[in-house]
Parts: sequence; C-alpha cells; structure tokens
Amino acid sequence: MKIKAKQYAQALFLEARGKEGKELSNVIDKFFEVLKTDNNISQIGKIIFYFNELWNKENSLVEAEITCSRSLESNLKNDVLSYLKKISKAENIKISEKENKKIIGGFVLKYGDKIIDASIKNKINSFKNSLLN
Amino acid sequence: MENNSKDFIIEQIRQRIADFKSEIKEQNFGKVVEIGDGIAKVSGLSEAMMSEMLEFKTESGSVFGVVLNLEEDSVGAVLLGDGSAIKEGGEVVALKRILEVPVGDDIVGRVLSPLGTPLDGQENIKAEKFYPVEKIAPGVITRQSVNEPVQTGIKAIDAMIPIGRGQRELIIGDRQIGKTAIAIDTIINQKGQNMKCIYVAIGQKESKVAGIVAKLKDAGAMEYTTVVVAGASDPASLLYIAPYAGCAMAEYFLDKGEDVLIIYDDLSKHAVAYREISLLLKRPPGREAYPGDVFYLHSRLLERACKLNKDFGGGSITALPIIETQAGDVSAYIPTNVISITDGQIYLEPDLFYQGNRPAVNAGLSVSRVGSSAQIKAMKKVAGKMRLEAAQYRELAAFAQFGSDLDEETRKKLERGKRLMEILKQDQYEPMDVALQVVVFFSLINGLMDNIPVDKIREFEKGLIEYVKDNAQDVLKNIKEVKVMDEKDEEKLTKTVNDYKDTLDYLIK
Repeated sequence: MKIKAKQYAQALFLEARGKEGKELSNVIDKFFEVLKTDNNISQIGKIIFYFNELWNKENSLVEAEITCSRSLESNLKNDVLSYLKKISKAENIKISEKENKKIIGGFVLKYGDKIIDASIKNKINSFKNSLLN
Repeated sequence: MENNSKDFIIEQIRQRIADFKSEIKEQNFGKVVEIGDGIAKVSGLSEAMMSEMLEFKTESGSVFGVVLNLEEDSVGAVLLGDGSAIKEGGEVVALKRILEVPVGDDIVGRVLSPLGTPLDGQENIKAEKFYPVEKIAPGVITRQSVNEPVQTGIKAIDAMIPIGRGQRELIIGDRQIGKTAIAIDTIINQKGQNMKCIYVAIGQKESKVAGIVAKLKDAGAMEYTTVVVAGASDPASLLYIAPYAGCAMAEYFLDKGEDVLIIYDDLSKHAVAYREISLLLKRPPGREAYPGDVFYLHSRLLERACKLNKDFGGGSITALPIIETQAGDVSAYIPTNVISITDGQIYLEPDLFYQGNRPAVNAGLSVSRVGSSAQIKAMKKVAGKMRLEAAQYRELAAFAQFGSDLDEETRKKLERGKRLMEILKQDQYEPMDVALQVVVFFSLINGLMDNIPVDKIREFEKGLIEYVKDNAQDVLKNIKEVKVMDEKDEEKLTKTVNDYKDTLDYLIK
C-alpha cells in the first residue's frame, strides 16, 4: 500500500505531540529511519507542509505575511496583529514583513489561504477596468 | 452644439468617477502546484466552487481559468488562455464568480470568442447583463410542445423532415458532404422570420469560419446572426465552453420572448476537446477513451433548447447540432448518444452526394419526431403525399433494376419518382420560400409535371416559380398568411401551371 505524505505527517504529529527535548529528537530520528526503509525521503517537502498545517491548527497559530511599500511602524504593526487575531480567531500570529515598491502604497495582507489586497496598485487597476467598461 | 456634447461627455466621466467605489474584499488564494497542457493544479483555495473563475497572476498580466475538479487538498482547473507565463508557486485568486459571458442586443452581427471578446476587430461588447455559461435547462412547467415551424428553405427538409421552433434536430454525415451548408442555408432563410441566429463554430478551421462569415454578410444574414468561434488553434478549454457560451447568449433572447436558432458545428469535436480535458485531469476513461459523463455533456446542452409557454414569455431555442461520422458509421459512441438525445436527425449520405442529389438527405433514415405538428397546413397537405411517393419510389427503384417488363402503374410511379428526386435537388445558398415550395410540390403530386422530361425538370421549376410570382400572387399570399390552400386556390394554381406549360416547347407529347 502506498502511504501518502499527509498520512506520514499525521503519524509524526501524533507521535511528537507533547514530547520534548531528547524524546522528541528520538522520535524524529526514528521517523526518518521509517522514511528511509519505505524509500519515501523524496516526499519530505510535502510532509513538512502537511505537518506545519497540523501543528498550526493544534497551537491555534496563523502564519501571515504583510507586504507594504515601506517598512511598518510598530504601533501600526500591533494594529495589524490585533486585527488578524480578530478575523482569523487564532491566538498566535506569526507575521512576516515584506517590502515591495511595486504596490505603490497601501498593503497586501495574506494569512492562511486568504488575501486582502488593499494596495494602491489594485485600486488603480480596478478603477481602470471600471472606466474601460 | 459641439460644446454641449463635449460637456455631456465630461459630465458622464465625472459621474462615473464619482460613482466609483473601491471595495477591499477578503479573497481566497492559492498556489500553483502543477501546470501544463492547459491544466493547472492549485493548492489552497479552500472555498473554491465548481466552475468558479480563477485569476492566475503572472508578470505579464492575468490569465483566467475555470475550476473543474475539487479534490481533497487541491483544485484542478483549465486555463482559458495562454498559460506559458504561469509559474509553479504562482499566485491564484478565486473570483467568487461562476463563469459568465456578456450578453445584450449588442452581440447581434458580431463574431465573438466563447468569452465574449470580439474577434472581428471591432469594439468591445457593451454588456447589458452577464449570463452563466452553465445553466440548468427550463423545467417541465415552463415548456410547451412545438407548434411553429422553422423554415429551412431546403425543400427536402421542409417537406419531409420538418423542424419546429424549440426542436433539436441533428445534422449527421461524413466529412465534406454539406452538413454546414444546410445550417448556413437555414440561417440565410431566417431573414424576416423573426428569428435570431447563433452559429457556434467548435474546432473549425479559421479559414472556413471566415468564409462562412463572408457568405452570411453577402446574404444580409449578419443582421440577425452572432458567430461564436472557438477555432482549431484555441485551447481545448475554449472549445469545451463554446457551445454553452453560445447557448447562454441564446438564452438572453429567449428570456425576452424571442425565437432563436442555434447551430453547434460540430459536437464531435466538442466531445474530443472534453475528452482531452478529462484525461489530463486524470478522470478515468471509458468507451473510446471518452469520460463517463460524455452523455451528460451533450444532454445538458441540448436540453437547454426549448419552447416556452406563454406564461414564461413564449420564446424558443431551436438547436441544430452537427455530428461528423467516420466513414458513415452512425453506430459509434458520440453519434448514437446525440441521436438519442435529439428529436430527430437529418442523415446525409455520400452515395447520394456523389450521384448529384444535393443536398444529400437520405429521406429513409432521416426523421423528425416532433416537427410535423409545426408544419403549415398547406405544406402538410402536399408533403404527406410526397413522403409516400418518395418511399414508394425508393422501394420500386431497387426492385425495377432487375426486370424491364413493368406494368403501367409501376412505370408511372417510377417516372413520378424520378421527377421527385429531381425536384429535391437544390443549389447551395439558394433557400426557397415555403409558399413557392408548396407550389412546386403541388404541381408534382398532381401529375402536372409528368409530361416534362426529367432532365428539364429543374429548368421548368425555375420558370414556373417566376411565372407563378407574376401571375398568381394572391395564391402565394394566401399560403403565406392564411397558411392554407382552399379549393379555389388549388384550381387557380392548376390553371396557372397549365398556362405556363402551354408556353413551353419541350413537353412530352
């Protein structure tokens, strides 16, 4: 029977849950042994992806990314964080910042598989489309 | 005056700027996992709907796609454009809109792609509304049985295989045998008949489509016709949605209570395009490698052809799907499917075609299951007898090949049959008015043509039509408007035909 990456991730997650330190690294070592005997090392990318998904769900963690045209001030950043907590109903937010001059102004916020595009570039584009039609 | 119009334009633009509201919405996004052959696999998009539009963002603008597969943790989509700029890991946004096409009175006389973008080099369509490409067909309560005719202008069809408004009549035959010709003649003959026409070209050569559009323009038929083109060079996804998009455009006129004629040229290429998409999406193949839902593919399309009753506007969509057979094999998978879905078929036969009987309609294998109730009374009267004559002739002709000693009765039947076959011949792009058809058939079944030599029949027919137009206008008017021919008309017509014959010198004494 072929084992899917998602199933590996689930197994690893269940085994690693609540373990720490030496115990945890022991589990991981054994997990790689299993992968090696199953000849499934190549699946590791997908397994990590699914594992992250499970881990984030368990710990109520949301990964977010904010793109702005210039770097954010700290009080603005806190506003964004509290807003994210409100809309995503997660307790912990892991946010990464990006700078992109191409969006001109405003921000693009991504979290989970949602996107909020409040960039000036997007506004100009939709304005252009509304004038053309 | 000029200043005024300038002000008006400026005012309009001002209004539009003032009305513009930019909304910031939360959207669902995903990442491209796999791309190739016009198919994309996208992860994320947890809220994607079936046949929802997706926007693939690339450096050189956006490409659109449609969701066709919803899987455990990915979404399968077809691209509706060139996907060469899309990269793995690229961003995809779900637009929360089912695939739609722009519709409106503006589409008449245009050549459009299945997405409603102009292909005739003219300006964009001013869309009144957007109609969904996939729509469930009208239900039982909204419908009515077929009761008005579609005049194709082709003698063999109007007499023996009549088509009604709201019917689905399949045109089936081998390649190069005049299937498209029948469809185009029918469109040309709809002039002044209160009919909008939509011609959907699926996987046709662009040169052929250009030729058809030119022909329709010459005949003045583009005034009420829309051409939807998914050419041979377009991706399979466009070929797949083309007939549904054409039908959505037809439904706009249907909802306004108008009659529409839609031609799908041809559905075998449509099935092949759908097979390509299905196999690339890894759906399991069935007979002839077509997917399991290939029957539903065509049945849901052709069910959208309908005749609505008065309470629902009374409009109709008449569908003429075309199927190309391989070497006359009507028992292949797709032809049998479509034959069973439609309300009859017009079967075109190579043998007849090469003998010079054009259009090469095989009257024996062709049927129309509902159309005869839509025929006008005058035509019904003559056509019933004609069908019988034709059937008797076919039987006798095969039988008479063996013996030369035939009794008088049989000989007469054969002679009449030969003239009938001659009458049914008709040149391309020359559809004939129904009143004139009735006149020609009337002369034939009443034996008025029995003393015309067979090789002179077509010449006689042409002359007769001109003569009747000049001398018996009131009879033609009666047939057209009252739709019946009473005894007085019949007498007058017989006399007119005999008068015309007196002017001829080639009669058999």
